[in-house]
Formats: sequence, C-alpha cells, structure tokens
Amino acid sequence: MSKKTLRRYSDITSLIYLLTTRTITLLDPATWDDSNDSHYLTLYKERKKVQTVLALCFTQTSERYHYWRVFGNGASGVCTQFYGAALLKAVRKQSGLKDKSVEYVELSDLRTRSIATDDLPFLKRYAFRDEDEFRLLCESATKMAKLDIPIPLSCIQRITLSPWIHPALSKCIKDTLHSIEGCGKLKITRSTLIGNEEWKLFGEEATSPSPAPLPVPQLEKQQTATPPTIAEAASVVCDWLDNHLQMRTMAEGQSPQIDPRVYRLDQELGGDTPILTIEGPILPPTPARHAFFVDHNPRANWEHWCSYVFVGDDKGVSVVDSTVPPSAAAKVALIPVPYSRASPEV
Amino acid sequence: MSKLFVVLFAGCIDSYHTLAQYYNDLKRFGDFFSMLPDVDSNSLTVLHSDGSPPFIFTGVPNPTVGAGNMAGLQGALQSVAASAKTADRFVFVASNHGGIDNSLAYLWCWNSIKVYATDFAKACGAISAQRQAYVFGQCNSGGFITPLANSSRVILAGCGPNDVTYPTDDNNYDEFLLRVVENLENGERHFANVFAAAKAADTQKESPELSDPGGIGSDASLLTGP
Repeated sequence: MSKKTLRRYSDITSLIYLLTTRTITLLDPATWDDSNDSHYLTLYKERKKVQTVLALCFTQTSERYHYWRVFGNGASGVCTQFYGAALLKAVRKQSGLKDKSVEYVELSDLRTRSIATDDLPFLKRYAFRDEDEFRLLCESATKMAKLDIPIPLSCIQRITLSPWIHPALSKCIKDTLHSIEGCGKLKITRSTLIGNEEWKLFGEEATSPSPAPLPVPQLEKQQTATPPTIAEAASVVCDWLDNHLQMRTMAEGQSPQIDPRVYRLDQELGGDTPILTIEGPILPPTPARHAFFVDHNPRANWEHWCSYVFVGDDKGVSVVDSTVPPSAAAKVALIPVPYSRASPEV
Repeated sequence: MSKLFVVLFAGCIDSYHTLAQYYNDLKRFGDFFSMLPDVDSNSLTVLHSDGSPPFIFTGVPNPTVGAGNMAGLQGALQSVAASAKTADRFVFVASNHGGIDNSLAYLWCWNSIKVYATDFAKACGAISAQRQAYVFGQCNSGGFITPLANSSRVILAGCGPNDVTYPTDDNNYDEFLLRVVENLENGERHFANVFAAAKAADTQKESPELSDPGGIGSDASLLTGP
C-alpha cells in the first residue's frame, strides 16, 4: 500500500520530541476521547492475550478546521505532514506493527455482520468518517508504556503551526524548530486556515438586511475565473485585512490601536516566484499572481510583525508572516494601497 | 591622559531602509560627544549605511567616517581595542534596525548582514577600557544586555529583548535615543540618571532596559574624564 500524505495533529511538545529523537511514538489508547474506540482496542488486547496495545493515528485528508479544534491543542497545535510511503517504509521495519486505514461502520451494519478480532482496532463508528484515519498499531506480550519507532526526518513533508498561534510568536517557534539538529531545512509554515474563519464571518454578514450575493462555488469559480486585476487583488487583500483585524480584535479582546499599512509589490509573479526580503526569499504558499506587503505596526522600527499576502488567479489569499521588510536588492517598488479598516470598533 | 573613544553606528540594512532618523540620531550624538574633552577625529568614529553620507560635528569637523557594514563595525571595534587603555573610556551608540533569532538579538549591518549580540560582545571584549557605555535604539535591543553585561559596562536599551522601538512622532529621531541625547545635552553626565530621565520622558510606550552591574552608570567620569 502506498499512501500519498499522512497528517498527524499534535502539539509542539510532541513535535519537538519527534524531531529531537527522530522517532514517532505509539501510546496507550486508553485515554482516547472516543470510549467506543478504546473499548474495541481493550477487547482486542484481551482476546489476543497480549500485555500491551499501542497506537498512533493519522488522517489521510487535507487540512480541516475541526482537526485543529479537536486534535491541535489550541495555539500550541501542530500538524506534521508526512510522505506516506516513506513513513510506512520506515515504520514497517518494526516487528509486530500493523498499519491500516480505519473502516467506518454504522450500527445497523454491525447487526448483520460479525467482526473479526483482527478488525477490532481498525473499526470506528460512522459518525467519525470525516477523520479518514490511518492507524499504526503495535501489540506486545510484555508491558510497555510507549514505543518509539525510528524514522528519517526526510519523510516529513512539512510542518504547519496552529492557525491560532500569534503571528508574532510563529517566527520564534520556527527558529526554535529549525535549530534542532538536522531540521534546518524543514518546511515550517503557520496555518492560514484562519482564512476559513474569515469566510465564516463573510457568511455571517450575508444575513444582514442587504445580503451580499452568495459566493460562487469554488469549482465553478475555478472553471470561469479570470486572473484578478491589480485593483481586484488589492480589494481582496483589504477584505482579508478587515477580517484579519476582526479576528485579532476577538482574540486580543481589543481593537488594534493603529491601522496596518498595505503596499503592493510591483513585481510580476509567475506561480511560485519568491519575494526577496532582507532576510532572504519568501515563497508564496500557493501559486500567486499578485503580492502585497502588510505592515502591522507601521510606526515601529524594524524588525516587527508584517505579512506577505499573495493573491492567486482564483482570488484566493495565502499569507506568510514575517518580521522583515522587502529588500532593496529586489528592486521592487512598494506601491501604497489605501486602507482603513471597515469598522474600527467591533 | 584618559581618552574617550566613541563609535556611532547605523547599519541601515540597505537603501530602502536608510531612514533620515538614523542620520539625525548619529549627528546629534556626534555633536554632543564632539564637544567633550578628550574626543578628537581619531577617537570619534561614525559608521553609517555605505559610508557615503558626510558627517561634520560641532566640535570635530572631520570625524572618522566609514560604512555601517560588518567589516566597518569590526574594524572600528578592533581599532578601539588596539588603542584604548584601561584608563580610557568607550561609548557605543546604535541607531538602527534590529531583530532576534532563537533568543539571540542582532543588529542589522549594511548589505543585509546581521551582527549577533554574542559576536558583538566578543569584539567589545577586546576593549580594555574600564568604563564603557552602550546605548542601543534598535528593536529587540534588550537582547544585547545579557551577552554584553559586565561590571565595567553600563548598557541602555530602548526596549526589551522581545519588544520594538519607535521613532519620534515626526520620524526625525529614534524616540529613546532622542530622550537620551536630550538629557546629555542638558548636562546630565551619569548614564543611570540619563536612562531614568529618558525612560520617564519616552512618549512611545517603549520598554527601555538598563544594565549597570558595576555602577558605571553612576560614574560621571565616563564622560567628563578623570
């Protein structure tokens, strides 16, 4: 079996352990949220007459909001994305290890079928089907609290920090992770899923007396979209910033005192063209047509929090947080974009 | 005779980020120090951007001027180290951009090169002058205190290791540095008092920090001479 991508949602302490020891750790499932699930594993342990059953779970789907909520542990959450085939090649060297996609079944199905003992650890109720879980399982005749399985760091595709981590802290966390031996070149980004939160805010606004037209479904938009003009892209960024500031206001309990300053980088982007900052290149997380620079604290001396905001042909926004401005070596003009927040008091 | 060595530094990063406030800060500090006894063109060094802006100070019309790059900074500190004796005094002022990586603060030099606080402290460690003052205006400047602190140094930083600094409202000066130099201009010669007054007068909600483990900040002879 070859898995394309496996994602593991955990927290920063688990990630540091993984990177430092270069192992993934299987733990006792007894503490899992879903007692149905842990019950089946207990049954499995009893029927197999083994002393230990340890497990580790991954999801096979793309980033989802509820994964961060359920598994991400707030601002300290991380998502480690693995090259599935490389990871499985490494862990399958461990004797006694089983790996399998979880099967999601309805109660009505169970009434008409018998369950093989070997299937017990890989069955979950249908309500959990969105998890699309892939599970590693190890059983042992001796008692074990945990099992560390060596993996090469090269099987890590990227690491994504929580969308709720304060952008000003994300650079420090990235630096810390990069400082771990052998991790200097790991791809580490902060999740831009917060954009989905902004999307929800758009939806909330649509219930006002003058509702805005419903957004065009993504698939249709992709089929008919024409690349945004500079003015359209600037408008997209200003909308993003409005919602970003609303989110900050909710998170920090008060409205930011000053408006950010927005600039358009007068640079032709071709897919993943980098932006040159004083600290080196920054790549758009997704292919982009227009790039903008948002200075969140324009009164302050450098360095301080800023964002590189990219707009794609589908008008999608991707963001890279930073603390450094564009470099003069890029020879790219910074064109001011007029911006004042839509509603200072939220 | 005790000599006062002064190095005024603004790395500026590159042409995009060479702001007027950095030149103004260095000019104002240079005018002040140039009027002190025991300061001359050999002991007053200005390092700014690529080294091209001219500096003429009130009391020293021809200071040593160089680029605010890594080589310029290293060369200036090595020159002071080679010349300064224990009875001499040393003042370093940075009006600049700064940052922090892995809890290690740095100053930006010309050409987008960072000089880390530990490397800076190592270079300054070769200076044998027993009375030294460091005044930092850049962001994260408090991160220079731990690597640099010792009993012969008073260190004034415009903010904590994880904080930012601000210019004055008119963008003509760095706020903290302006308050420092104003107090010096007004006759204060104890750096500890200069710091307290500058902190009190700061209008930009900054968080200045002071390190003075050896009481050098209460020794006016650092500026006035023995």
